Amino acid sequence: MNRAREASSEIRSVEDLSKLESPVHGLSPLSKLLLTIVYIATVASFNKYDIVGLFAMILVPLLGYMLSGIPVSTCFRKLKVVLPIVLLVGIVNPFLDREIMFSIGNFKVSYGIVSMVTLMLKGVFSLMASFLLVATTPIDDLCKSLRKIHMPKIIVSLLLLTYRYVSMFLDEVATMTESYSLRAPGQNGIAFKSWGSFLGQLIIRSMNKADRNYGSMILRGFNGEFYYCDRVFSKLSWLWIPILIAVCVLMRLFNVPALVGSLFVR
Amino acid sequence: MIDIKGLTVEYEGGIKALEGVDLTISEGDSLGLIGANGAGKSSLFRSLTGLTAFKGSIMFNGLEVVKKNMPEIRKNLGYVIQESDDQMFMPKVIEDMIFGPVNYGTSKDEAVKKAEEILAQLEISHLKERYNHKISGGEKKMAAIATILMMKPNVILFDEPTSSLDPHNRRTVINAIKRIDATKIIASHDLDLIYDTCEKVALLNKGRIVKVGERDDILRDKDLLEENGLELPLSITGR
Ligand SMILES: Nc1ncnc2c1ncn2[C@@H]1O[C@H](COP(=O)(O)OP(=O)(O)O)[C@@H](O)[C@H]1O
Ligand SMILES: [Mg+2]
Repeated sequence: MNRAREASSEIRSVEDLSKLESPVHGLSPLSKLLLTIVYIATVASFNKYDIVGLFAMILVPLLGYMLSGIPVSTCFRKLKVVLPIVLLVGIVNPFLDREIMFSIGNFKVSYGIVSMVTLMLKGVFSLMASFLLVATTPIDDLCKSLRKIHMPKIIVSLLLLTYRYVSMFLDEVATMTESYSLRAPGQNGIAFKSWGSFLGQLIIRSMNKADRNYGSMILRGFNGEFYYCDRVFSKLSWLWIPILIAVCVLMRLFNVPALVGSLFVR
Repeated sequence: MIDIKGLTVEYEGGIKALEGVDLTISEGDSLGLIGANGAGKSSLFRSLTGLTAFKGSIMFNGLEVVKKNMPEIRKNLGYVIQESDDQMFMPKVIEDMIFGPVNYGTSKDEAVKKAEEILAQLEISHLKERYNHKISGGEKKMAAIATILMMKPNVILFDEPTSSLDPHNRRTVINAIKRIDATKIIASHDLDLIYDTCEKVALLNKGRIVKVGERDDILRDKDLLEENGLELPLSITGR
């Protein structure tokens, strides 16, 4: 299957996951959004050599995955298209920062390698957390709760439409690359000289699609409100989420693995 | 019921899609809007539904088609667009179907019940829980019609409802359209479809109305059709 088509159908199926039932699905969308933001901010703020402290942060999303019944592997499978990009982020660090930090046997580990791994982990953890949010929260419910805290209609509608457009856009990419490759047999990818017109077309076509789509929504009474979402969420959200947020912050402030270790090693 | 006067639609770059169109549609009419590609059929529908800016005036049930009247007008005016893919924006057929009524204040349970009735009426109950992006073109068209019927509109616009359907699906869609009890305007260059579903016909060419009349007066007029880039329906030539 075409890569873009595959990605689009993966994204659409995430929306199916979000409709399942579990303790995590039952938490209020806002509380989860808040936790995700705090989590990502915390992860991002770790020192670039603090690999041990950072690593402990994996516990928070892991707990979420366990409780939600969604295997962590699903996250990596669905996101396999973006994963390489995240992993590439720190790739130059080992070349820039060659001073040796420590060595394991004969293998010398430089500061650059550590910071590369830290960056990768930051990316992967953030992806895991964002995916968990999306996979346990129907987008319309999230939008509805954003409206409840008086987020402007225009911003909320944009969020909803962007989410929907990603898969529409990928479908369009798929259709266009397919028809391109049918007329350019034996060519791998799209010739550089065609990129301009290809991109231009892609933008115009997805804009037209988006326009028709939005038209169909307003013709059926959409005015930026989400009357059709009527899920009731667990009141416990506002107990659990602050606890987890506190955990994130504590893990950032104190080197938890070291503390735990010191309990056993004297 | 619908009164169009001096409708002119001009797109950026000075392309006139419609020019001085006058057209009246009465309650219970089934009007075929025919014309070659680019004649302006879709532009007419988009003006009626307030999706495109236009000059001239359109009255719908005594209400002028202007921004402040749109919520009221759209409640009674269904538009089945040509691209069913873009018409359906919720993941599942059922979710798409209840979207409209719930926006207009129907409870979700009630909307689901209504959806089940309409699915049964269209004989597509099996599509209820299916995903919009995983059903065939013909099924998608039927589902799109179902989402529009959910609004119980008095007037339904169909934009090329049979384009890109195979003969069997085409037949299914035509039969469904025939059974719908509403004022209908069907835009198409599939003249057999029009012959089958409409009593009146309006012929458009390059943005202007060439002729409005009874079905047989227009669809049997070979010269008129050919001058306007169309051909006699097969059901008339008997081929
Ligand atoms: N968004 C647009 N921008 C510019 N020109 C357009 C746009 N949409 C349609 N047109 C032009 O307007 C004319 C009428 O188009 P349309 O109403 O789609 O015709 P039909 O539906 O009968 O095929 C065509 O010449 C078309 O190229
Ligand atoms: Mg058209």
